[in-house]
Amino acid sequence: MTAILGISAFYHDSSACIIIDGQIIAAAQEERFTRIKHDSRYPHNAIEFVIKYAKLEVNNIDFVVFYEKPFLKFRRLLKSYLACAPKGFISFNKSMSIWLKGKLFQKHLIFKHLNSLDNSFTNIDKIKFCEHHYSHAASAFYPSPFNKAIILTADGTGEWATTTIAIGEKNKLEIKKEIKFPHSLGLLYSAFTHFTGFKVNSGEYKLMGLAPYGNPIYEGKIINNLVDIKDDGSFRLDQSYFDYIAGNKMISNKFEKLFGHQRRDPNKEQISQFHMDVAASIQKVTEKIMLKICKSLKREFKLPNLCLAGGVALNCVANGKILKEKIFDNIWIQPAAGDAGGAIGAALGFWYDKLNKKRNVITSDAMKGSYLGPEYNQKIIEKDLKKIGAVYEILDEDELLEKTVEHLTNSSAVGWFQGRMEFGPRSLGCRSIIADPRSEDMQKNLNLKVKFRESFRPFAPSILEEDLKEWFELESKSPYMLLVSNVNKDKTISQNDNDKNFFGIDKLNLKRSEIPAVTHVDYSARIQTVNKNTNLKYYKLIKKFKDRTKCPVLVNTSFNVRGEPIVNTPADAFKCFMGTNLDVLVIGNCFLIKNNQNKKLENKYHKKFDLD
Amino acid sequence: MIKQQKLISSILCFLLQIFIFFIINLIYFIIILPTSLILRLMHLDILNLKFEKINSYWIKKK
Repeated sequence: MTAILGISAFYHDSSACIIIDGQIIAAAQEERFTRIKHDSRYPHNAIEFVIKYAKLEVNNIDFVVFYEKPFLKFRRLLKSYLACAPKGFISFNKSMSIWLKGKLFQKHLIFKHLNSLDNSFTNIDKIKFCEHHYSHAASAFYPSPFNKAIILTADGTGEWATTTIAIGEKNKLEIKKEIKFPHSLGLLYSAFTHFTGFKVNSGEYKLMGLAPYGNPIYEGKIINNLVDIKDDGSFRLDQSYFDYIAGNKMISNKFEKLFGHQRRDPNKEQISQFHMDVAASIQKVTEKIMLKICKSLKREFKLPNLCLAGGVALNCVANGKILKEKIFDNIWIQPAAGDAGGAIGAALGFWYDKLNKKRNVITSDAMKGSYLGPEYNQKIIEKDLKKIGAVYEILDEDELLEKTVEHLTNSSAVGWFQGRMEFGPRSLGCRSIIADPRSEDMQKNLNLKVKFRESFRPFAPSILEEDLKEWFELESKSPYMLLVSNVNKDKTISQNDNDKNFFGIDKLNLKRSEIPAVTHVDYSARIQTVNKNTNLKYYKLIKKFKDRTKCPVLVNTSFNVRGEPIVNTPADAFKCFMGTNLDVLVIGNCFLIKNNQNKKLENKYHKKFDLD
Repeated sequence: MIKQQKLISSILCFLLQIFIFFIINLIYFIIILPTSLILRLMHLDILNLKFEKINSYWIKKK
């Protein structure tokens, strides 16, 4: 037996995973334990969890693989400062002090932490490193159902690479070409995230959600000034519009001058049509680049399969466009496409490529539905709920599903906490808030009263896999909620001339389909297909909802409030339940109704989390 | 005794911070800044910042 611990840390979304003989056993993000969103610190808790879950001691681990190479990253930093000095002096001072105090000596840092967890772990040579984008590529290829595939990774930056093309075949993976820092599709998108007043490295999905409200009128401005795109999709950014090389800020004054607006201050300025148009424009440019790259890859390598990873692969609208264009026969996207997934890639890459182990392609789902986190049995759930003072009843599965569906059809918002926590940014039916998608007010209510977030944000549908084609224009399954597609025409409600006069956020007030709560203003939806083999209980719930309503769709959003990590424990779930306007909470077989709870346990804690 | 040790360790920590700060500044002004100026005088584009009239910006992975 060979156990490999994969670690991703020190940038954002720290995580750990454990694989045994090439099989992913457990993976979790540190933020879920520390309750600090995108926690970048050394993932103590995640490591302890994965090791414990695998029933191992630290000393039983054969290799520890870190997801990037710190020396290469340090060299990139030095070279960047060389290129822009005397600009960047303050940033140089700050970052060098962090690097010299320990970040540079990560092998010793990791060893020290692991040794403190188990002092019989004494072999520092067990700790290995692999390149950031190799980790991404490995996380996309090895769990994929393909024997041979093209792997496209794109994110902000790793060591040097920001975009890479790799070919994976059997157990081997080779990066063929790359685009290097500072030219980065991820950073380009992040620059616009910053410009529109959202947080970099977490608000990107908001920008994507905002895009359908606008018109891409600045597309030409972006392409003619900010980015030079070649026919094969490769690109460079005009750095005079950006300021991130020196590490001071994302954009320069020239960027603001180009658009005739200053960066939106979220505390002072509301989102306007201008910001929506900017969002639509950068989304269009991103899609254009991704499509160009994909088309040229298909021409060059003539392979039918594509794997995607890296933060840009979380842009499910762009993913949906790639799928729709039918450039490739099959696409597989790593559900934890961001840096958290790097832990899985580092471990799998080492197992297959470096240890040269045989790879048997798993066509079902090597990621196990991405349900790789902690789980709590009924006994622990009851003990925890009792300790908190929750009032609950215990139901058998049939009663539980029946009662949940009854509340859903009465427009209740339900906290759904079952089985193993999801790995990656999406809730996939184990730590989810669910609701009836047919309700016209549900989107607004969930956003404003449950999630306490901006009203423009869309919600995603979970649909039974077998009913997908009847409701959406999507031909392939989407188990990880990483593909966007339109609601089928026969389920939509056509607009009259008066409706077409709605602009911006007002577009929200129009009912667009039979499932308005999950239909975005452009008739699109970020779909999760639910399969009985990966999440039977959730499948049964939706099936029961369908039997009652003829609608095989539920609203599925992450179980948290804005800015908070997704709940991990029953106590986190109860806190969120009591801190929001959720009506019902279902944890394991425990059924909780808000009105039955002690009012003194209410705690509107969401204000302590900032908006992304 | 413990108080004394704590005091000594915090003084040492403080001195270390100053030392690191001093070293970083030294590196910047002795190495980074002059090298950067030389590179600029020689028109060397070490980060490949310029737009070029070529077919592709992809770089073959070595």
